[in-house]
Amino acid sequence: MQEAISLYQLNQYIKQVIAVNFDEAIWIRCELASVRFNKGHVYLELVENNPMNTQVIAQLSAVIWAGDYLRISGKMEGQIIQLLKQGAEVQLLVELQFHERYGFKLNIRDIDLYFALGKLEIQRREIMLRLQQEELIDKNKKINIPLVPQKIAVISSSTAAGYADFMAHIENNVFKYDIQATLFPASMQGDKAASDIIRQLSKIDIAKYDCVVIIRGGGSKLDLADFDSYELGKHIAEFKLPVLTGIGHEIDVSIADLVANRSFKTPTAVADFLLTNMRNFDLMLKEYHSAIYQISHEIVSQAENNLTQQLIDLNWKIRHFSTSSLEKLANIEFQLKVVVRKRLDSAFDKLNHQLKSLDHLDYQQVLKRGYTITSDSNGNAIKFSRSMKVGQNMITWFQDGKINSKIENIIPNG
Amino acid sequence: MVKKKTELSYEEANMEIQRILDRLESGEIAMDHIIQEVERATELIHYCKSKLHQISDKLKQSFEPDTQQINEK
Repeated sequence: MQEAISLYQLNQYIKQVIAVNFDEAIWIRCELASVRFNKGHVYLELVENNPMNTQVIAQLSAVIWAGDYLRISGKMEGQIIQLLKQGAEVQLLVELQFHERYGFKLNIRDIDLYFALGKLEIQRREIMLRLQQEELIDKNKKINIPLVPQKIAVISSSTAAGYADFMAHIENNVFKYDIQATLFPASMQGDKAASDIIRQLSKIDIAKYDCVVIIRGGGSKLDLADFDSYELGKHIAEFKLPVLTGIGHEIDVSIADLVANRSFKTPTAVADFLLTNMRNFDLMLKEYHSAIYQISHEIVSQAENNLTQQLIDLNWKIRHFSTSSLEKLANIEFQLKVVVRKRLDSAFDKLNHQLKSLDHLDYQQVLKRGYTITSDSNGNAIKFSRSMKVGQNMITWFQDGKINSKIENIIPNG
Repeated sequence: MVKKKTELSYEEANMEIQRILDRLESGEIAMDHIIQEVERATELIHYCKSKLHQISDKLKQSFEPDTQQINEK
């Protein structure tokens, strides 16, 4: 007969050995083969695969008790449910426990967020590269956003805070533009988000809408991972309408944001963008309107000025014409006078000249007859002796010359 | 043949005004016809002016500042 200990004693011993060797929690890296939620606790199967042939080379069961789950969840900005997906590679802080009755169990006390984020980031980059190679990153961006997008297909969850904000902004816009936004509901969180959105995209009749807007309220980096799906990226990139995203993230940009026509930080930013575009178009129309009026007004003004000028011109010409005609007449009149005057003067001169000639001829005849003519020293004929004085000079004219003499005495007749 | 005043287009009236002005300048117009021509030119100028005023008024009406909503595209 062999010495034997009881099973309980064995398990107790194992328990002690483990407790002593693993008195502190340790970080391990593994993959989640399965994840099951039950009554607030999470039951997981942890595995490690042989990288060559993906055969399982290690496996353990693990649990996150409800209390721990809430604590870890609270510590992270979003729900840790993002990380607890089948197939996810994670780093976990575990306590090894061996229970006499229930055996070996890993108690998960914490999850390495940065490792997870790192993984997410790597995945995201890989997807981004793939999309780049397939030339999908800019495809949606090549579609022009219409100047006045009045019919908008909104993919969001009716319960999402972002959705309510967006609708309020759009429907009560301060410019009173008439915009119709139609909701295509999709879950915006969790595993289903990407496939929901894809499904809704396919339901949108591109003839009836001007653009698509995908929005949700703020979330954590983890939540953003929902939008890092390659399929989602591809569908958005290839969609025939411009797709705008407002997925509500401060710093990071998801795959969906990258391929979208334009991405914004918040749903209200999307709304503002659309409204601003419309406003700019509106203002531009008003400017053109105004310019047309201005130019027309100027044309009319100019024409009016021309007419006024013509009127002035007309008046001036008339005045000038009548003045110059009168001048011409006055000129003629003057010339007439001058000519007549000249003729008369010339006639008078002629007569005078003839008269003088006549005079001259007359007295020569008298002298020839042997008479003399007596004149004063000025040549004026003296007819009366009494018109002279004693001592005065006088001239006696003969037919052959003249004699100058001085008067000695004067003897009147009678 | 001179068209009746009311039938003339703005441009036609304008051209006739300019013709009369040019002929006055060059002295082509016979003395006896001057008054007639001047009266015609003045008449035409006033006709054109009143047409312009009509246009100006219509412009003001059509282009009142617009605060309509943008409705259908």
